[in-house]
Amino acid sequence: MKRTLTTAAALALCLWSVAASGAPGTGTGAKISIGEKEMEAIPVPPQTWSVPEVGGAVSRETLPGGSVLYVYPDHRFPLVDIHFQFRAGSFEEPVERAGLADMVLNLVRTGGTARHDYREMDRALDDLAARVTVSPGDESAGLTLNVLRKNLGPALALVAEMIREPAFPEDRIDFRKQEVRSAIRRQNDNPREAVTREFTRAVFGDHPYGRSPEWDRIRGITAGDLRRFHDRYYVPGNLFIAVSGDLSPADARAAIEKAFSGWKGAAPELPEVPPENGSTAPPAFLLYQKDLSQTAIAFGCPGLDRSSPDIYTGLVLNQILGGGSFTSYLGQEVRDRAGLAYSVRSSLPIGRRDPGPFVIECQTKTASTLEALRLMRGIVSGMAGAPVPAERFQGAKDALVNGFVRGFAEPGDVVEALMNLEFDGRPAGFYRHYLEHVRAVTPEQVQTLAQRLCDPDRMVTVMVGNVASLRDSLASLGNVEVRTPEEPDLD
Amino acid sequence: MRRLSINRAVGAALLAGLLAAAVPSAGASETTDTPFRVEVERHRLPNGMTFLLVPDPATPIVYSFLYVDVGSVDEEPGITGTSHVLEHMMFKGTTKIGTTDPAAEARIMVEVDSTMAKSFRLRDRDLRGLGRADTAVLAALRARADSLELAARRVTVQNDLDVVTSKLGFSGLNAFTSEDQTVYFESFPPNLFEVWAWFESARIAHPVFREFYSERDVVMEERRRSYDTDPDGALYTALIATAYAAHPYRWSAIGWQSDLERLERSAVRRYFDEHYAPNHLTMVVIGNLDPAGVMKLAERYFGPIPPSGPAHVVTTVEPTQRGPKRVEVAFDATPRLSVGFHTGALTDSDRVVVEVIDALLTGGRTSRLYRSLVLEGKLAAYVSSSIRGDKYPGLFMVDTAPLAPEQLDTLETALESGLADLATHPPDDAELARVKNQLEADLMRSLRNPTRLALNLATYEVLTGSWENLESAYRARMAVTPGDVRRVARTLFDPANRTVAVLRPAAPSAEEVR
Repeated sequence: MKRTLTTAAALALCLWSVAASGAPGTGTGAKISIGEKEMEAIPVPPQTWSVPEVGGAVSRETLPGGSVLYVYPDHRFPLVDIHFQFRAGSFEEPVERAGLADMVLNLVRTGGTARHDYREMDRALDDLAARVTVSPGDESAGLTLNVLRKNLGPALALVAEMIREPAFPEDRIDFRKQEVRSAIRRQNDNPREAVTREFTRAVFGDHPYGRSPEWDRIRGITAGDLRRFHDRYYVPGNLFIAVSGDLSPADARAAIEKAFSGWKGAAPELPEVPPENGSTAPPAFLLYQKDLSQTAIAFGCPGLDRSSPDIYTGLVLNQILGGGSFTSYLGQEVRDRAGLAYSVRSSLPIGRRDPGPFVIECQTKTASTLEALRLMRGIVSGMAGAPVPAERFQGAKDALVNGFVRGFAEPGDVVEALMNLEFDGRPAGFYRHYLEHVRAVTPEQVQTLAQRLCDPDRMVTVMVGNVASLRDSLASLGNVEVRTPEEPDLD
Repeated sequence: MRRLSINRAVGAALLAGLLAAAVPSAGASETTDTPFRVEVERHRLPNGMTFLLVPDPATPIVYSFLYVDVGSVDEEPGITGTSHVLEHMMFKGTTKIGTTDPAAEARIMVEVDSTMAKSFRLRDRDLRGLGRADTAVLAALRARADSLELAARRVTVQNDLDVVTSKLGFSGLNAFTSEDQTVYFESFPPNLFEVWAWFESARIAHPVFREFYSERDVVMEERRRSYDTDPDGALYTALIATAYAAHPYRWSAIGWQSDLERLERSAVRRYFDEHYAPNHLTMVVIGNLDPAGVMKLAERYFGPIPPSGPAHVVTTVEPTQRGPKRVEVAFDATPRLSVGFHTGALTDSDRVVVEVIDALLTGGRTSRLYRSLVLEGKLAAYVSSSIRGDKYPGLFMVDTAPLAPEQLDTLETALESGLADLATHPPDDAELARVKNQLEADLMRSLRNPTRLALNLATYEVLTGSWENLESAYRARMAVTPGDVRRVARTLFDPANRTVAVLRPAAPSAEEVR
């Protein structure tokens, strides 16, 4: 029954001795099931799909104001999606005004314009059954219109008005501040959210990847701050547009030019960004004591940025470690074999401007916290200890290559993916060569990268749960700091 | 074994009529609407398995959804959560997938099960107060089960189903279980159709629930994660347990922790045998497919699986609620509130009115509750509503949380009057028209989204008799009048029909205050 349960005291004795014994389950040759042999007799013709590029179904052009427009016509349904993406994310906000980029985007959407207050705007959009959603980001601020084709003209006119002439009224600014304040108050309600926030905060400090809303910074934001940020970044020269749906590229261009006629503004200079973790080094272990039946664990370090030559190696490494959830080492050992967690995974982003969070996460019952941590640390460091066995290595690469098509299933996925290549400064042929690069990765390259990234002793570990008592068990591994999740200061 | 032939119960039918009915001709300034259609083919094998096929050559992949007509509503006390544990076990392989030696493995599993059964029986005595089980004996049994599991690993190929399918190009192999249904899904490029038919049929015909007890532990971790330590999960569990007195809708699909702890492999196998048969299965396939080719594979791979009796029926009928109910949950989190009202099943003629009410109350920024509680009232951080339970009379639920903790009571009062207001001030034509425009646009969005389309098709097919009722339900929604809203809101939001669940931190004890 409780086959995974051992006392914490007994575990502490052997906690770290096995940590570097190599990735598990790799000692013997790979077993082939009866089913796999049978499956090999089933014909699998080659995939006929090829990576979409600009020039085929997708068109690209630069509009007179400097905006870049991508269009993928899709006439299956009478719907149109228009995604506006400005380079106006948290990278563009000053750290002492952290939260500004998000607030500008929110008020563009919800604050009304010079010509229509927010009630009139909401009413007009809902009358047209137009859906306008926002997506704040590190590097971008996104706003997407989804509307029936027959209502495109009037809906787009309203969205253009929002983007060009937001009113930033005081009462709506205050309303948004109260919303953020309320969210801050709720930020420790869910241990999974708390652990992710505290992990990125510890690793990245004031860098945009480490920021989370702080009332001290939010409360001081003024209408003037919002307007200055808006006027600088919400300009056509700083805008990318991706359109998919029931219209031709010419119709898309005409509709957008009509809605935005006379709009001007060149791309602004972009500000300096604070370095990753410029503040003092965090302790090795940060334990947040909260009386829960389960501990949320996150540990890791900065990973790769998108210009790194190692991104394809990183992709394969992560797939094997914990990205390919059920087929990865972490999934098989921590979840399936030991039954210690429902969700266990690693994440190693390869598209971030700066090295993004390389993080390993799981949640496990209080009694198995140390056991799960030991197991995960052993698996992570095992990636550096020996090359991944050939069978597993090939399986991970095949999954990445043969499943690649999934990311390009719908026209909206395709047009945004191609637009984002240009937005991120990647070459237009990036995806054409992507699979060749994945296929070329070797086990030795993965091991070399793992020797650089997969060292638990150089990672920060954050835990939320009934964990204060683990201080002594962890002390031999590095500094341990026990904290209580703070009641945020909201005065 | 039955002879294989495909019964074309209904040929191709079109959802195209929907658009024609819904849109009163496009605006004059716009170009004519591009014709579109969602073509659905229904086929039924002689063993009763239904296939709904939606060809869409514009996408390079295929989406597959296997809908099983069983959910937690079909469980009973003692085995709550079994539908969901079974869903997890369906990824553990078959007599061939996942093993190098099925016979040896089966022998070990029999021994594991009898060892676990002994330990369960010993601990059962505790529950009756007949004396605590001898811990030494329990430990010995546990050690025995552990060593058996180790032995099984020699012939088990771990996660074989995921490993062999993912390297070929299958993505997102996963599933979910609700109170009404269990749905298995994945997507794949069309060169893999035969592999798809091979493994999907094999796990229906010959599944093996290997690694059962560790997977049961995984599910208990899932419960801790999504219900024990998550305030929304905790509140939801309390709300439904209070709103229902008799009906099995009173437990959530995750079940109770003590039932999970006590669950035996053999019980899950019995449950599988009772509920998983081709006549309880509806397979929806959307995307880059050739219907004739798919049905040839279906016939060959799913055709030989024998059918079973009719689907299980819950005979318990929830008695009429005779007064407001309330439950308080003490939890270390900011306060929140969930309110439930009994309503009819999906087949109830007033369901469409409740769906319109749902949209009137919380659909979008101009909806009544979003405006009165969030935008204008500045009382709530969020408000949303939903209907839970389609197969049997369900619950209309509203979830909200105060913007600041001290506003909890004010929010509850404001929510109550906002709901009551719908009967006294039903929508005028403009408000209703706005909501109907949104329902029309949302229909298009739901047709375009493969997951929503598949679940809608399967749900209407299974619960109402035909996916085509999606269209009649849509028409009925568009025909709802202010009078309908007033009539249904009056009974729905009657305080005697209400259950309020409130979550807030425990009040500090006298000692702590001092």
